[in-house]
Amino acid sequence: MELFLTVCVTSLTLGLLYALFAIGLGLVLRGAGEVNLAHGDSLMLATYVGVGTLHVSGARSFGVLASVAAGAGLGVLSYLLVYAPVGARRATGVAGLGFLPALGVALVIRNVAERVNPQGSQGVRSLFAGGRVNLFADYRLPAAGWWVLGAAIVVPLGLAVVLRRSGVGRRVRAVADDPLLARAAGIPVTRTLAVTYAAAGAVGGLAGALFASFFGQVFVALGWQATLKGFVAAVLGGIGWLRGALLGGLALGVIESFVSGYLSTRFRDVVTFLLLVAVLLVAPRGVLAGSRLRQV
Amino acid sequence: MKRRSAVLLAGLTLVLGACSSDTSTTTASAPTTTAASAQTVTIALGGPFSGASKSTGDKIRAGAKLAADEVNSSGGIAAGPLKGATISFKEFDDAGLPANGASNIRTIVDDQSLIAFVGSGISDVSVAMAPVASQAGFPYLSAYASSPKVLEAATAQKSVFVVPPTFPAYSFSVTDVLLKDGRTKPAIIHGTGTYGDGVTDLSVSRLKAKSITPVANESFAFTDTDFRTQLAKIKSAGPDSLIIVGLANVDALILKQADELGLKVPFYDPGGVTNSDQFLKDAGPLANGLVGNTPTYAARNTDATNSLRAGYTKATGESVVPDPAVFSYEGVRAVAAALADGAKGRQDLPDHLRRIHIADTGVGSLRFGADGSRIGGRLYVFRVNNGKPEYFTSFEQTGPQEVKEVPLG
Repeated sequence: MELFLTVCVTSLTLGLLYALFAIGLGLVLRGAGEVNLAHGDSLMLATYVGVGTLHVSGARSFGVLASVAAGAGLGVLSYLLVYAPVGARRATGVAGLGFLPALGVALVIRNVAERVNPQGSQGVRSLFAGGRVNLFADYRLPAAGWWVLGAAIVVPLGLAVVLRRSGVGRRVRAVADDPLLARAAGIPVTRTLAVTYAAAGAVGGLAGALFASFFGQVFVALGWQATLKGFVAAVLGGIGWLRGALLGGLALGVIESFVSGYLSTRFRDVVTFLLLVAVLLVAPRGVLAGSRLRQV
Repeated sequence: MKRRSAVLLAGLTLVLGACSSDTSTTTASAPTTTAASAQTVTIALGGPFSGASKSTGDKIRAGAKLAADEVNSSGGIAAGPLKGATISFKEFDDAGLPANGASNIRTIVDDQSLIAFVGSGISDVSVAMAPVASQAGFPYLSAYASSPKVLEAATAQKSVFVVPPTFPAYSFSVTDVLLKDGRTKPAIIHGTGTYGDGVTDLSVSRLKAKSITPVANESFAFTDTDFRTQLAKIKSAGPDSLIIVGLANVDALILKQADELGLKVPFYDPGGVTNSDQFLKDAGPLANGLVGNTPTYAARNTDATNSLRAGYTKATGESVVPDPAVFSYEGVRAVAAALADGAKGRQDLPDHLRRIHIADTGVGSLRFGADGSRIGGRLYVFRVNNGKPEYFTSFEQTGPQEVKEVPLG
């Protein structure tokens, strides 16, 4: 029973972290139609900024805010300095290779991070307040686990409200649906897409801060892991704004944890990717595609 | 836009999935420094100078450079046909990826200006490189990668050497201490791959020789960060100890998560990764009681040890000479000694490497057996107490698969 409960808790915490990774990717994918391969590396570097701020200031809130702000800033800068200019000059014949600039940005960020932290990985103290809480038997969940749960509820809800109710949200959705029509209607497309990248980066920065706090470590390879897990979650859940990412992340967490717990860790990635291929064959736009859930 | 996004996402996810085991840049490596002249012998220096294992590569570079500086400042190669020649390096970055290593070694073998290879931080990389070097009879000194598979994969010509004690020495020394501690129900959690599986299999075989079977044997990928599921399974098996075969940062995470789950048993590290400032800092008080091993004995007080320690501290500012630096230092010292022994170039260097015997490199004596493995390498076993390693015994490698316990000293 203790094993089952541990696997359930692990499924939930990992799944929600994956969901937060996927939300940032999904925002750009849905809002700008681009696969942002630099998302994970941006959130990794933002996490370093947050951890560094905590180290310097000693204030956890400053650390979290710095991580979120750095994520947003990296998103905007990447878009304005690289993606937008490259996109404007890109020949339509190679539109399918639009992810290459993001790959370049990812590699640049990764190299910067390696300079920041030449040790490869670094133990960090939590950016979120609170001690361990006893869940069952001897299991004491770190406070960051509860913050993950809270963020996974608050972030999608907050974004949903902004997207549906606010002017900026409506502009983001209009640009996502048809950028040419949006421009003709007087919507500042470039500025709106910059907002989309900023929001995605901010969510990424928060996710990175939560990840580092939950595991007590930050490392350069986190960037690639976050991108990979986020993409898998996005595919499983489907290309929506929020709920697909949330459910896809949870599904991924459940699959990984239960395969590890009751089969073997060696089969974890095999099972995950077999399932992914199956989803791509049966429902290439994600298991939630076509349902009303993906509308938000 | 939605349809386009779907197609892009589907294709990219499969591509990303196929690359999921890679956590570092896949950019092909290239030499980064060049120096060669009539009075210079150039050694190919390899390792993960970028990517997730960059810190290991940095240490390999620092140790090799320290040895070269010592040789060069004392007048170059001490004797032989190349007497007076200085040592320089040409770097080859493998980023910790076997494919990069395999590509690098072909370039290295074809470059006639290079006299030997020293380096490689990852066993899988060395396993990929060694056969090519062996086929060409090119002197290859694996500095840090110490899987027996490095030598097993290089049977064409005897030109491959493993500088560190091999996996059996690491594994058996700590497993023997575990047995002496009276543990009868050990569990194992280990990373997969040449290193993780290799050390684990050796520990299991050592235990089974004493009729002990681990109560649980769980694995993880080195890119993992959550080990709670495996630890919960281990806890449910009721172990009296836990053998961890990981890396320093991973081991610290495992200790933290074991503590969260209430798994309170003594830990044993047969991989030789926990004698690091990083691990002791990350693990904090949870490291207390852990048993590990290392080739560097902090209390060792010989001229060579003090010289190595002082030189490394002066060069890097670090007080402890880490294992990758120790072995790349020894690798370069071995090449210099073989040249002083009379080697004329890469062709006869392997024969001279088998003849040399450096009485004290700073961590002990260095000589190679006929198969290229190190003979006489020492591993010092410690138990962490109050956040510091306290050494209590040592083991000497007496053969590729043999160790014997010897008193500290």
